[in-house]
Amino acid sequence: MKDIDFDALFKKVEELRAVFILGQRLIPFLEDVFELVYEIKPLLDEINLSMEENVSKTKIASMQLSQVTEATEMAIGKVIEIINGLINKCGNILSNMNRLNELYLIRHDNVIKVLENIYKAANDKKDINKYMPQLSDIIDQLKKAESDDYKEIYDSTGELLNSIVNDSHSMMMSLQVQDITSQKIAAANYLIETINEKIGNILMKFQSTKTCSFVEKDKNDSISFISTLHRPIGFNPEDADIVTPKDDHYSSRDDIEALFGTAKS
Amino acid sequence: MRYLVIDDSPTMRKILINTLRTFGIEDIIEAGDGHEGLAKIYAEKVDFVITDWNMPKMNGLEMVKKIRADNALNNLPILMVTTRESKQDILQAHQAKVNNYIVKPFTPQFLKEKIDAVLMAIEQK
Repeated sequence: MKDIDFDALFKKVEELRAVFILGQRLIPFLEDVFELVYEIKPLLDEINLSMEENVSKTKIASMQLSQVTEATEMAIGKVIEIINGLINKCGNILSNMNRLNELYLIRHDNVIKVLENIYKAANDKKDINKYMPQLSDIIDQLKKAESDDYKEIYDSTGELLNSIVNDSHSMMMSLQVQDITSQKIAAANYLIETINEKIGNILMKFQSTKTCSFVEKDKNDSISFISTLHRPIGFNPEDADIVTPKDDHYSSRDDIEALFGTAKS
Repeated sequence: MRYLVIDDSPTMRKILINTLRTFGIEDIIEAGDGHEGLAKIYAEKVDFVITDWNMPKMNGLEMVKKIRADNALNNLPILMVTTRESKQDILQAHQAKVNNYIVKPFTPQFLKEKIDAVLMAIEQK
């Protein structure tokens, strides 16, 4: 029979006993860790969901702002084009006015010439009949100038003024983009505010003893879709929607005419 | 005929008012939201309403519903001028008994045609 090394055995038993004691002490700690993980998981899930939603909202906000800059650029480009045209037209009207003035002076001079000739002839007691062909010529010139040149300038100026009125209407249409873009900016601002609120609410869970001043009570009535910038601005809720509408979602002019009745154009 | 122009955008109100003036319409009053618009309809004799939809305090659709709920204002011509263009929006406006509908942006000529169409339809009734 082999001799049993009781010393070594007792040593091993002691080591085993130490392991069991350590295990006993570890178990409560591990229980606490598992409890913490259990508590944190919903918060992490919420953060994950929030982040996904916030990414979508940020994309939408960015898209709205991109549309705003594009639309503004186009509208301003159009307005600049119209203004350039207006400057040219004003130049043309000025030319017409100068031409009218020239014609007036010519007419004025011709009339004076005629009267001076008559005066001279009468003064010199000459035969006025000698001046008749010359007088007749000048009268014909005056009549022609009046009917042709004046009419041409009058018509041209009238057309220019009408086209200036049309240009003003075109500018008014381009300037409507200010209202349309302000609503898109309001929608983007609304999205940014909701993201801000969500992040703030999450952070408050970590700092529950402190007041998070950046999470303000929502002043806006989210049901009415109003965003306050320099003034409260109502906007289309679809502009803040993370779901992209399908193409057949929108009405055409014909759809509207069919429902409400027809306008000529 | 007195026209009431309702829009929360001061720019849009100016554009509408200036455009109406080019049609020879001079008697024009304005409001900045549906609440103010409704107050003006009751306070002053208004013959034609041109209204936006997206507005603070009371939006255009809510205002139209309140107008139509009053028998005395049942025949008041209402033209909605808005950025909303979904089929659902158009249908809602029609159901609320808006007389006609314009999606922004619009040309002055189109606005005139719509106003004329509304007035003609009312005359024919």
